Amino acid sequence: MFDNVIIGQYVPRNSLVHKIDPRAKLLAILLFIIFLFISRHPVVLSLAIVITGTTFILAKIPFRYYIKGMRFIAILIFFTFLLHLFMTREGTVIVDWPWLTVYSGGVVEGSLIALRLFLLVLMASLLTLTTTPIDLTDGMERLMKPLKRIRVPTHELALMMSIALRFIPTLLGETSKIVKAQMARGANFSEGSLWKRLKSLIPILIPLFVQSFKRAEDLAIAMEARGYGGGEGRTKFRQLRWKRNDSIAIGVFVMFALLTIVFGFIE
Amino acid sequence: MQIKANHLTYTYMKNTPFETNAIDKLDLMIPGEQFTSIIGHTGSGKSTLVQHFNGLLKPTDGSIKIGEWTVKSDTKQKLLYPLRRHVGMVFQFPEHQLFHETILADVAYGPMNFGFSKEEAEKVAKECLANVGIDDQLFDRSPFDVSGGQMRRVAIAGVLALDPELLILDEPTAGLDPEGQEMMMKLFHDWYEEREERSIILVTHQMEDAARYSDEVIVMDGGNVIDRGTPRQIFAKKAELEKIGLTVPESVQLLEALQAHSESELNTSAFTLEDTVESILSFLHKKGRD
Ligand SMILES: Nc1ncnc2c1ncn2[C@@H]1O[C@H](COP(=O)(O)OP(=O)(O)O)[C@@H](O)[C@H]1O
Ligand SMILES: [Mg+2]
Repeated sequence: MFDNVIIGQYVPRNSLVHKIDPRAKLLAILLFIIFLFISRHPVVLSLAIVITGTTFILAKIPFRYYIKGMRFIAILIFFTFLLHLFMTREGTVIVDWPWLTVYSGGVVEGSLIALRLFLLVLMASLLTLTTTPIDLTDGMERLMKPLKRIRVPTHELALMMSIALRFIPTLLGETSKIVKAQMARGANFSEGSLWKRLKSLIPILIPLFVQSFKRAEDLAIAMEARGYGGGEGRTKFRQLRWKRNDSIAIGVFVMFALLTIVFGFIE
Repeated sequence: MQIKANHLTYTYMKNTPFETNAIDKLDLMIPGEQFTSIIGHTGSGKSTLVQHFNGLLKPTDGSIKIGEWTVKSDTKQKLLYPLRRHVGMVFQFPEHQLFHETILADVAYGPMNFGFSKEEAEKVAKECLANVGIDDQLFDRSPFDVSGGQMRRVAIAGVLALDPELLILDEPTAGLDPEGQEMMMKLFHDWYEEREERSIILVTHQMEDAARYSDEVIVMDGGNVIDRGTPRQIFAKKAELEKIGLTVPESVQLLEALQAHSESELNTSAFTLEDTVESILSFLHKKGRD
């Protein structure tokens, strides 16, 4: 039923990208996203495509699997493209029908935004596809560490995120089970008026809520029983180690950022 | 209701790196009007198989025939609703499906889905709740306000309220104490005996239950059926069962140990307390004569 959900999904592979330190990955993606949206120079954009493509190939994620999970996002990107295509009123007129005018600027703007969104989504999903949730939250906690000075509860934020990520598959499995149980009792989710269909979701949502609360309570008790007392003075069993490849990866993205700035001046 | 699987294959998460073949080209015929048990190690595909019996899963490949319904990979969902009226299903931890404000309304949910009026549905619900031993004082209570054992019985009443011909039970006694397990199994067996045309398919890890109640036992391993027969035939093959991670009922273990120790022949296929005592007595008797 939820076979195609790839949000928060981790695909174990023995690849170069998988082995990069999560801190490096987070920083690299941050750089990439910021500078991708700054420049519109063809060289910078081509470089962004090459970087994304190379990362994707190095990550060894099967292309077919990826495309299936991206279907929904693709629709969103397509609509954004259309929106820009019709709304932009710059450049020369290409199509001039009574009910529709398309300017050349529209094509450029639409393609540009679609390309940027596509690269952004690809990179961002590569992050979760190649990083275990535990590494991801460890990395975030480390990067947020300076914020602790101004009393941001960094450890708690990271813990919340790791619990949320950990329970996505559990929640999906549970939803699928409850849907099946109610279908076995004759529930029908695909027929009738919109109101009727919405109402037919109640028998799924209520058990889901009840169980989520119960699970949260169990988890809290289990954590307390094992002596959890917040982040204060807590040491880590798994240490993050910065390696040479991590520096190289960051290096590539810093170069990308610098080039973007350079081409910005040339323009 | 008779079930016939023809080259049935089911693959989870097809075309992803997590692709698993849970059922692999399975051919199977289960006659109607009998009590059948399916045993097998965790992950052998039992749950996946039985979810085909009421159209919750559609085969990835091959087909399955349940009574007069045939289900293939391209069968429309719409055609499967009537099937679910005739095939009831109790999942592991069925209490997770409760949602209504009152116990009575929750049990009436199934019949109302199949077009019963509120009055009719509540009448059926009351009968079923009485059958599973829920007191009428509890009918207007919230299903979340009663004990775990009672919640489970309410959920089971909710399935029985559809008056199915075939009842599928997927580890229905998991997480109950031994006494609760026995009561639950007796409840199902009584339901089964009540009418000639009723059948039960029980998926279980309790070899004692499989041995005691079934007419036939089906053994699964690695997504396929590897053996079937009467409890007597199946539980005589201790070594084969142990090879795939299963055991024989405790009564059989006891009698086999006795047989090995005393080096004399005795009847080891006893599945009830009475039969076990009988077997031991006749052994002692024979011993006394020697
Ligand atoms: N929702 C699911 N998604 C992916 N794989 C599954 C799912 N459910 C079961 N499987 C896999 O299918 C196989 C058979 O599982 P299942 O039918 O639940 O076995 P059993 O009920 O005998 O324990 C197992 O390998 C299991 O990991
Ligand atoms: Mg199972």
